[in-house]
Amino acid sequence: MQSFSFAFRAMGSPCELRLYGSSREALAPLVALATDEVTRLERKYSRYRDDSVTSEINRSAGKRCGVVVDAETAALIDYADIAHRQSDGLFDITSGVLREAWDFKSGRLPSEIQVQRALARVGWGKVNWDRPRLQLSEPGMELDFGGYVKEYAADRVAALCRAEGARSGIVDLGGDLCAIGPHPDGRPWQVGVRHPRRNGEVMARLPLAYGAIASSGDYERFMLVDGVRYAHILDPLTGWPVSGLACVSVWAPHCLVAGTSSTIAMLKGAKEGPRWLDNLGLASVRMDSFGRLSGSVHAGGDSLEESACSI
Amino acid sequence: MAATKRGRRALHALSAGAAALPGLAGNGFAEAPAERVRAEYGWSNYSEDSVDSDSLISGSEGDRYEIDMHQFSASVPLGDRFDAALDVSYETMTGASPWFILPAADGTPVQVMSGATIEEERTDLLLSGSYYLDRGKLSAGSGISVEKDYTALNGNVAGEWHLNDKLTTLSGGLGFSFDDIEPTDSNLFLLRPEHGEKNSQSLFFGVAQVIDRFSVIQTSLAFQRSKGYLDDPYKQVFVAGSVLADSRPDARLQGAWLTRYRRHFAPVEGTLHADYRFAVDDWSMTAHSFELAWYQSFFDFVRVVPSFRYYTQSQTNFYAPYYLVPRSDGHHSNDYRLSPYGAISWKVKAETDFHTPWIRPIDWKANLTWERYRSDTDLAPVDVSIENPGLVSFNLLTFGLKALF
Repeated sequence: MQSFSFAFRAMGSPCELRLYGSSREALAPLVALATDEVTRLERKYSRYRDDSVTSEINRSAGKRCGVVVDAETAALIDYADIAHRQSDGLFDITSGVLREAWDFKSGRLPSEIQVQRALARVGWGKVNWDRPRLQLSEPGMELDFGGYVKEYAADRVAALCRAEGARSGIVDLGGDLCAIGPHPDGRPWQVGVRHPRRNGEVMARLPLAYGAIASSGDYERFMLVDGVRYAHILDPLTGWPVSGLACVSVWAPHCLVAGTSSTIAMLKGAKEGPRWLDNLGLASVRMDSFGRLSGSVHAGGDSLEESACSI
Repeated sequence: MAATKRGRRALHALSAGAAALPGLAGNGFAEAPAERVRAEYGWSNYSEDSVDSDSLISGSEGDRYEIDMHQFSASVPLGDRFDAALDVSYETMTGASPWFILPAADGTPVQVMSGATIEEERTDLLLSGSYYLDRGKLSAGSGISVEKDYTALNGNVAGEWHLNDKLTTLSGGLGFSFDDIEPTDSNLFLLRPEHGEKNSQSLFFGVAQVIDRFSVIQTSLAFQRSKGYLDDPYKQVFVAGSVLADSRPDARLQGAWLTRYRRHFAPVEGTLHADYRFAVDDWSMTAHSFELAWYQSFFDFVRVVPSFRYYTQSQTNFYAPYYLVPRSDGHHSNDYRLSPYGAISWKVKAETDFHTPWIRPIDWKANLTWERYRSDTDLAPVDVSIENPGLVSFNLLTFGLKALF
């Protein structure tokens, strides 16, 4: 048995699947199953496809009858509802329309009117969710599953691999990692967390045998205006980018919970975010915008031979 | 890093939400069965009201049972998919019980109580285990119950299966019990048999359906067949001038249909529980029971649960308080449990959660429950010509403490 790496691209990110097997060929059916699942979820929840569930929901905005969703989508919406409540309104899957105001490629700040115009169509409170019927009360409102469907997909792929008998392996969907299980000898995978400021460098190495590690950072999309860094993580209450934390990585039993928690911590900022994570009792590593590292796990680790994935 | 109560609740909510997604329930060790060692202790005091002196034969004491019960229960996870549990209970019982009923000259029933105060103790031991599947669980258990005059062995197997993204749960099970009865003092009381045996088998199946995020309904059918010695050796019955041993058919088939509805009212943090149970048997007894309970949370760590239950049953076909003419089938019983009556019970439960972080973190749950139960023929929906004077009313006080390590 040896480990094999399978790289692919999905959900706009580089992805990797690491599995143990006798040969690459022997693992090919499992890899196909895994990538098919990621593709299925990407298609189903893509904002860019007319035939996606997301588009169907968004087309129904403002219509009184709303739209009836399938069980999987309903469970995802239920989850968003829980996360919204647990984050005091910061995790909000209606905040995607703020993108209309914020064009990070332009290098220009939006006007306050643009922000307010978009903000008028943001707010989970404006969604009537009566499972399985969903109604977006304002025309032009949108739901965006992009904030957590990748983490859900990582969980799904890991569960699928386990159901097919895999006991060792790791799923990496664009930096959201979910362990299928530790190395066959029980050693954890060593996960490198990308440094938010130094390209190609690792901020921390974390062991991962079970569960998942997901990260959020201000490095994915941002713009510098007059020396101020504006990142793509937008506060649904103010419509403006949040600041304070540069990067947060969280360990949780589910990648979905790890991802949501790291996003919420980013939204809560440098002071409240880490405190909120510590209150949850989840292990985490975070770096603030001054480059100061803090966390509840040892983030170093020099003698690590194995680095499964780098974020 | 110390997790706070609010934080743990938030994490629990998020994890439960994630586990509700299709395919994620069995994710890693996160959804392992009993993840933590559980230990539980309960104490209860059950105290029956004395029999009304007007209904008692003169010179007889009307004090009835008082039972103190101690229960201990623990469960431990064994690997990713198993957990095992042990339940032990010990109870002591003192007091007298209704023995037989005599007709007064005007036909009024007069209760005769068992002469001496009974002192009895009972020990129950139950060992059980569950195996968790990706979409359900299988459980099995076996127990023994020992009293001075009574030994019972029982066993059961049950299964649960989740369907439809866990919105639907099917369940079913089988059970058996073998009881061996050796009534005390059978040498002193000629009507008491020396030995009796009883076998019973039970079967249930049910379905639970999540209706929406706030409500769930469950309905189930249960059957039990009992064969053997079904009489009460400590009861006698007046039949046409003489006193005979309690005598019932040696087989009984019982069926019950139970429906439960739960609805959570998020704005007030309260949950309504409404249950209805219908039972019928081939001794031609039918029974209905309605229960309403309201689970109210305060400040995240206190719950108060007031509840109300109404119960009514018809009599079995061979029951009578006394018999002026013997029955042709030879079955006679004046047991109040086979008589027609209605009963109401009021219950209040207060429950609190707390956490002790010292040495090792422990989550505690403590509860105190008080119940008042009253049965009476006046509470029956039909007119009962002669009330059984042995109908019971009682107070029940329970204290429980549970620790999760």
